[in-house]
Amino acid sequence: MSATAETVDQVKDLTADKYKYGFSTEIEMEFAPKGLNEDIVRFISAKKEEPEWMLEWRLKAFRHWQTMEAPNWAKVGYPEIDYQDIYYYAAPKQAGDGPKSLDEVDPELLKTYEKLGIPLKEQELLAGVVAVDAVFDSVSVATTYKAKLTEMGVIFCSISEAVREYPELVKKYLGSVVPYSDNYFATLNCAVFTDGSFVYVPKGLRCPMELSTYFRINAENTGQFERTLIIADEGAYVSYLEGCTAPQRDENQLHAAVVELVTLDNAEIKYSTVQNWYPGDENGKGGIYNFVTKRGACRGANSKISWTQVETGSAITWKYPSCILQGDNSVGEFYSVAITNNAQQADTGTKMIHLGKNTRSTIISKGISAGKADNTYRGLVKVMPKAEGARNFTQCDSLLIGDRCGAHTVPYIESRNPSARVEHEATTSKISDDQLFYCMQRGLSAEDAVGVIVNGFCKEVMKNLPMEFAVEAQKLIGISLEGSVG
Amino acid sequence: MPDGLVKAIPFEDLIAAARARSQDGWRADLNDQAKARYHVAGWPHARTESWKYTNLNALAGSDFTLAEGGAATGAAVPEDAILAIDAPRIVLVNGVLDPALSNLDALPGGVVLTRLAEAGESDRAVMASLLSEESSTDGLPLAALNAATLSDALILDIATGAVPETAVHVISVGAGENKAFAPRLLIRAGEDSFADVIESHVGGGAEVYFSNSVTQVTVAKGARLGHYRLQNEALGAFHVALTTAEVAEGAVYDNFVLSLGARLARNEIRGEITGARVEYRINGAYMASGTRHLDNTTFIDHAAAGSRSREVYKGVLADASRGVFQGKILVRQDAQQTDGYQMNRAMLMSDRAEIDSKPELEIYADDVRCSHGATVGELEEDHLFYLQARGIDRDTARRLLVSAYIDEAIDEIHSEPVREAMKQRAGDWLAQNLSGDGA
Amino acid sequence: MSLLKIENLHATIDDKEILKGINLEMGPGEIHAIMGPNGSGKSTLSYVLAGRDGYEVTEGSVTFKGKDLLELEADERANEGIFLAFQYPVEIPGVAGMTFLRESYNAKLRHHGEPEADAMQFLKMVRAKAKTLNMNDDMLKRPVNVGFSGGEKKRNEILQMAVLEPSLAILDETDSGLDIDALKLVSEGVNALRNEGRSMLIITHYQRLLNHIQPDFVHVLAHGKIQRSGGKELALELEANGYADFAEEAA
Repeated sequence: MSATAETVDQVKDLTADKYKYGFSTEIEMEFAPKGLNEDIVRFISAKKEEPEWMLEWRLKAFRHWQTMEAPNWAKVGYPEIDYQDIYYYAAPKQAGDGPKSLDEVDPELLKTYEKLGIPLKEQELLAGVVAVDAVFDSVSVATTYKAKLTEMGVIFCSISEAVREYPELVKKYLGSVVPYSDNYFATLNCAVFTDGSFVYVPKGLRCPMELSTYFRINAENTGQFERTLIIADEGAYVSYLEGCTAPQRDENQLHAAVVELVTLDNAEIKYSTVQNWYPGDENGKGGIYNFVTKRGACRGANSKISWTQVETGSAITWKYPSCILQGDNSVGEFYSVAITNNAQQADTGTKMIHLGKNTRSTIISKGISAGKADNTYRGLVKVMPKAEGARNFTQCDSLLIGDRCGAHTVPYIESRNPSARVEHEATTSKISDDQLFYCMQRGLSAEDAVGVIVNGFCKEVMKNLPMEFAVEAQKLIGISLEGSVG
Repeated sequence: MPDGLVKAIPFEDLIAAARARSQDGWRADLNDQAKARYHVAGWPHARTESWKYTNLNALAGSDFTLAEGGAATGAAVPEDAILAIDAPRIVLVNGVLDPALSNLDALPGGVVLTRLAEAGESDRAVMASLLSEESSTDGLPLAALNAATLSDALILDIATGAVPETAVHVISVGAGENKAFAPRLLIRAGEDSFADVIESHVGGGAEVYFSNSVTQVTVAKGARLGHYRLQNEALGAFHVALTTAEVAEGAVYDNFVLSLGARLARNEIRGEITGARVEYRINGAYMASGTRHLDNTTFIDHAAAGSRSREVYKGVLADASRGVFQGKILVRQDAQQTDGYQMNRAMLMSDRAEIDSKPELEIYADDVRCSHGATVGELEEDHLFYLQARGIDRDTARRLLVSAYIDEAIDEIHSEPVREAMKQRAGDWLAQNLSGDGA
Repeated sequence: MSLLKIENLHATIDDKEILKGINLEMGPGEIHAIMGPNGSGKSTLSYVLAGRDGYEVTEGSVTFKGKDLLELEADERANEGIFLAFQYPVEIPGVAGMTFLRESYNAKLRHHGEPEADAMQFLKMVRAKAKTLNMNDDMLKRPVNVGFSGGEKKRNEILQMAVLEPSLAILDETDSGLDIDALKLVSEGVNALRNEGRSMLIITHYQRLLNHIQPDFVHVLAHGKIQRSGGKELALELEANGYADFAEEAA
């Protein structure tokens, strides 16, 4: 058997057993009744003790959502979702009122996060490297290092808390990047979002800690609708990490998040995601539907937003982290690795909208497709008439492993300024037999060789991840492809 | 058929007029079948992905009457608009063959011309199947409209093994204000034949007309066909063209389209590679000024293993013109060892010009080499300065550089005389549009 | 006991027989050169020994350290101590040379049930070896062979050999594409790795490499068979007379 064919078989061998985050936590939960209507929206708002304006916004979104149709332009297929068969609110009983001090968090929850490799006890962390907000189903259960961050003027808390404690900031920025009517899933999120993180970094501060949110879907038949809002005020900098897992279940679960980023003059946000939701089994049974709207607005001059994502999980991934480059000389970046195996489908990419002068964007996308999976890059680079001197460079590379999978590249390039320069390049290839043999001649097993070569293929993206994340992501790539590496 | 699709579909009157003219029962049947396909496909709307960047409202909102063809119009061939090439001519006026303007007697050996209007029983079945052949996810409504409104169709057969002494030049002349017509050409290159067919689409005086053309090409095993097209319609005309090409094992298809004219033009090429060792080449250039809208949409279907496709398109957009490039390469599961390359480069010459580019790869085979690229930019200031520093004035320098830029695409053409003739027309465009202060 | 024993080895590629009954025995520490004209099957022999896909052994046996070599996968053979210095080393984009070496080194340790190497000590060891081959840190950081000149690629092969310490090194046309300085450097690297326990099989078309690496035995391979064997004087004879003597014997 040829080494390639063997690799393909090993890839095929990957079963859901390899998903090591597939356990579920036994904990007493509080649910809202199943289904979606105005009462549920009101219920969620009441649970969160929200002010009237927030409820009104949610209801406006909900009413608009009822007039919308689910988008069908992405290259993904799935049965129609019954939005009445989902719980929109599920919270561990004790945590219902939002995050408490760490001492009060249910030990069952602490154990869960420990098992996931996310220590919530501050003393267990390397001194102050990462602050974590842990979101369990619909609520934030803990946020670490709050006191230390508060001292510096950084607000890092759950979005529910922010609505209550910092209404002016929330009012000003929530929905300002992704409006309530933006798209089907984002609008649904506006109506029923339950929790998520809020970050505000004050003027001139370089946040010395990585901030991180760890999302966990646990309860059955539950959708997770989190909302994240990050604001970097003038001259501020923050690096934010996001990780996600879910138990292994036979039915599909919906995750429809919205993330909004705002950078003012000279500010920078670096947003990194390692998405490892349960992908479903080898036949495509179960797994998360990951329909996410992520968008950043570079409002200020010389500001920068950088998205890095490693997408290995989910049955379906539908996300396009985007940058609206309004400020002159602002910079948008998108670095992506998307791996699909078995029956996974990913349709992901970015939008770079150049509005300001001398705005620059870089897109590096690496898609790896194995098994029967489909992997699509879909991106838009748009240069508006005033974006004098705008620059974009896009590189999309696809790697196919096996002959039953698909790799697709769908870039849209629209330029309305003659001084703008847009360059797009894309390639499709497979792992060559020569490379595999070379690695094996040096003693690497076939699956290790594939792991090494694929990690090399993804190098340009991986180097943008913060160190701790990069190691984790590298392992994930191995696991996603072989099940035996790492 | 759902009612919603029938509503608001334009040009029903053209279809009715064509139907009234069809004396033979079998031609009337063809009209009716095409009309049904047109209704099912529906008129392209803003959310039809393949028409995303080309809005047909202005076309749909215009009033046209079905053109009378032939000598009755008294039209002449505009010599300074067509491709200047020494080859026998087949001239269509408003989609109908005009024998007086043509040199049918001079057609080279190995080339046989058949007209739908004079088709015998045996040809009819072939015609009927060809006329209803096009298919795509969006139903190709304009091709169906072509079949529902055509007055004539020509079959150009190149015999097996034939190597005609000269190329054949098919010239479509639009004549008569506010007329609509539907040229239809079938080119069948027989096994191991080696021929060039050239199409010039031009206006013969009238300013506003609607040419809705379809050219269907089959290239049999081992054949080599050069198929070159100049779109140089009157500046107020609408030009919508579909070319389909089916290319068999070991064949070479060398296509090039230069788009210069029309108010709105769509050049759509859909190719299917059905065998191994095919060289499938579709290249082109588009040069627009004023408020022209030039759309190039191509689809390459690698349905068999071991073939190559190559596509290079280059555009120059001046004034408030708009260019569109949509190119898709599909590599099916069994099309292993496919080698596909696609490149679109566009240059904006003005701050009111716009380019929309969508190069697309859809790949289901793993042992392939496919790459595509797209660039958008303007003339390099360094290059301009270099030429100026050598004493060349700025306008001349611009023309030289743009000309060199476009030539890179034209140089893809296999036939040398066609290459030179294309460069001549591209040069005319540059002289007319890039003099004075240009931008 | 012999280290490697090849008996009546027949091998085909795409159903075409290339090796037509090779017999060869190598003891520990011995250096054998295989010389032959183009198309004689030299590279095929190296690939068959290393276990490359697409080469089918139709007859005969290969015993390495008392084991049936043909039963093993390519990586298992490598970990048992067979090293092939490639004629055309491939590029692996994105994978740093140092990372690649560490992966290979640890694979071998794991294979022998030993704990993985300490990262710092490994780094020091590789740097020291690289230095003797005139390779700087930058070359170790760069992706494997990407953007390397012909000479750099060959030096990189020798460095990998130095780190992985094989018991049988097969050098496939290692001199091809090298100028005289690079050839000297590479030869010195190879000579430094000579010891009692390490055998080498040097595959070459020309005698010039053998001026720098002195073989114990020379074999002439032509038409898929070893036609003659002798000492290093045989190489000189070939240099003088060429391979014309073997041209007639086509099967």
